[in-house]
Amino acid sequence: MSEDEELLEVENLRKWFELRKGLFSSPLYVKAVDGVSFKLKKGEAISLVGESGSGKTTLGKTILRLYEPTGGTIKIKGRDITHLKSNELMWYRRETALIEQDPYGALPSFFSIHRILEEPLIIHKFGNAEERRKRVREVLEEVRLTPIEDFAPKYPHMLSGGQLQRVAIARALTLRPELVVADEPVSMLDASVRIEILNLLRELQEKRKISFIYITHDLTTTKYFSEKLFIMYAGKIVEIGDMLKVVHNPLHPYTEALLKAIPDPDPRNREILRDVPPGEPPNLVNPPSGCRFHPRCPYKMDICQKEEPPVFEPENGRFVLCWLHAKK
Amino acid sequence: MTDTILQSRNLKLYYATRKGVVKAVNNVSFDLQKGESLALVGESGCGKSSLAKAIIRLLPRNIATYTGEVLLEGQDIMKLSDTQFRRQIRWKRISMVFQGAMNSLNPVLKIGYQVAEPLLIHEELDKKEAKKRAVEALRIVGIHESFVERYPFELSGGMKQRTVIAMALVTNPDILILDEPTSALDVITQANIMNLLKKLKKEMQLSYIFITHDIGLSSELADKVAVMYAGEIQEVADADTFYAKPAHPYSQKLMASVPTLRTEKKPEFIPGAPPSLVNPPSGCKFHPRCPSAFDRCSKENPPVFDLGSGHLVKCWWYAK
Ligand SMILES: Nc1ncnc2c1ncn2[C@@H]1O[C@H](COP(=O)(O)OP(=O)(O)OP(=O)(O)O)[C@@H](O)[C@H]1O
Ligand SMILES: Nc1ncnc2c1ncn2[C@@H]1O[C@H](COP(=O)(O)OP(=O)(O)O)[C@@H](O)[C@H]1O
Ligand code: SF4
Ligand code: SF4
Ligand SMILES: [Mg+2]
Ligand SMILES: [Mg+2]
Repeated sequence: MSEDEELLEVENLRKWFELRKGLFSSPLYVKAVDGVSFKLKKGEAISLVGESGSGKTTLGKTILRLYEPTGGTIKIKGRDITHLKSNELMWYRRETALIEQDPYGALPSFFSIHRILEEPLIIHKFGNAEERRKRVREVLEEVRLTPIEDFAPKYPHMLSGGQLQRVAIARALTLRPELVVADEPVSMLDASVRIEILNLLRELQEKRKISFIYITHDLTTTKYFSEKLFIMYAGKIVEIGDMLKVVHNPLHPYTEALLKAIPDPDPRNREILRDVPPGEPPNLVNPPSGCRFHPRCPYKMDICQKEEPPVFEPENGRFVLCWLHAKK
Repeated sequence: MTDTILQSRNLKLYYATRKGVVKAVNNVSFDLQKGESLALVGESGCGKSSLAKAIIRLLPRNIATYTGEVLLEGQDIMKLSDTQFRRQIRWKRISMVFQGAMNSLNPVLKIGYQVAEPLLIHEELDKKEAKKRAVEALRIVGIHESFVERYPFELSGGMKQRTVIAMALVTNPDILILDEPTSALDVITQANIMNLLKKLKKEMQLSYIFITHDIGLSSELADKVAVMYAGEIQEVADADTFYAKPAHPYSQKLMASVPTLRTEKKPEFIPGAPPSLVNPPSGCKFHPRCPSAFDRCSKENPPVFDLGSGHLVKCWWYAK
């Protein structure tokens, strides 16, 4: 497979959660992911940014087939895996990994670090005991939990948050996956160690040519991780583009608002009020008609609440779901 | 001229635990002026919330040490009995929005009642008067009167946060302590809440102690910044000085670790981890991680040096 080939192709992906099955009423759905399309190249890293509840985790987990999609398709290297059954998915589990937010809750407390890292190898019947031991040492070295002899026999409660997150990363990498989703991997860590962990992830991503989806609500950390930015709002990806272009010239009004809301440290901040839209993200059971951002959008036009905007590509490689960018 | 409203002098709060004594707040001194907002920053576990609880005297049971002076307009409120403190100080003079408070609103009580509750309990107002004041407090934080009859689950995250701010303001305090008031909110809602806090400060002449681990956010409200590390305040500086040129090596490292959106600067991490507060390092608590440490640092705990106009630094580097 050449460098430029698509690894992952997602089309019109939907994941709805059924809220309650009323005996007489029709069921209600939380439309957590509602029509998402994008492509990811082999070895490409992207950041997926959106506020709490916008559907980032759901999208990540659906792509990894930890959730059953409600609609749309997921193709990996051209192969449709949208509705494969779990017994047909073993190879996919081996080639993908999820790194979760909470380093404290993600690791089993009764296993040593060595055992935690060996577990996925055992499950996927990787090599013999010696080969597994070698792989565990290799990944511990990669995440720089050294000296290895000190860390391997330890238990999770003996480690700091940053060290635990390294273990979680090592565990995700033991099987040498091609696609990794990291869901808020640093948001529970202190600022001083966040950058260290992000740098490490980036380094491993490049070294191992992993296709990587970094999920976060914190836009400021994304530019240290990827060149490409995906912005999610209310179950949809509303803007895709190069990091610097999006940050310096956002196309979607929601992206613009997001950028305006984020303070860099500057004493002048206390003198100003931030020009951000009022209101909060909509409820995903009954999202607003048309463009989901229209109740908060300062640029809203007549068409916005009537018709949902399709994807426009006003500049090469920049995609946006907003009527402002319709071809005139 | 500004007046000092609150002064803390050698405040200590130690917890007794099975592992030993946790020195969460260790000899903390600072001044707060009327109408000023002091940002208290530092990594998690450095004692920020404990300092806040020590000031408002809402303490857990396992206290080993609770000493020092807290002067409210000159009066040492540490000398008051618990009853006096509850009757005269807490909520009436000093109020607080607790970390995570928006998620601990009582699910079975209406918003209006919860906002009025401090008045019913602490000021023994009659119901009608209390309700009137609750409606007013909610209006001030931007929540319409019609919400008085609603329950917490009917409110969005931002509205819940506004509600807990209203609860802290309904008693008309002079000082409001805000412990990570927006860390559970998304950034746009956070910006809206910060806008609200800025307006309230101006309109109500409030003094704030604003606790956050987010340096970017701290600059939204700070007139003055205090940096905490290992239970001690390491530096106090006015905002202009602090964000341009912090003096303490830890403050410098902390500032350098902040990722920014609009600048090209590459953030650095601070090697090592914050120390245990049971067995903190000898001498300067930061010495094991400090790039500028020298002999003296591991042997003697540095005193506070005054660099002029209220810029205080606890670091041997500034010894004459
Ligand atoms: N298992 C589930 N059952 C029902 N609703 C769910 C489930 N998982 C998620 N949701 C809902 O779907 C929406 C999107 O949730 P999701 O966790 O994907 O958001 P997110 O963007 O990852 O948010 P955060 O930043 O808080 O992690 C939310 O309204 C959430 O409450
Ligand atoms: N009730 C308690 N009993 C024992 N230790 C505590 C208690 N509350 C906090 N601590 C410890 O005190 C230190 C400071 O905690 P805290 O004040 O919450 O810090 P911050 O708000 O800066 O994150 C930490 O080591 C914490 O684990
Ligand atoms: S489609 Fe209309 S409402 Fe939606 S973001 Fe664009 S301008 Fe605003
Ligand atoms: S006293 Fe020494 S170790 Fe402590 S911050 Fe100053 S230079 Fe560093
Ligand atoms: Mg999530
Ligand atoms: Mg705290």
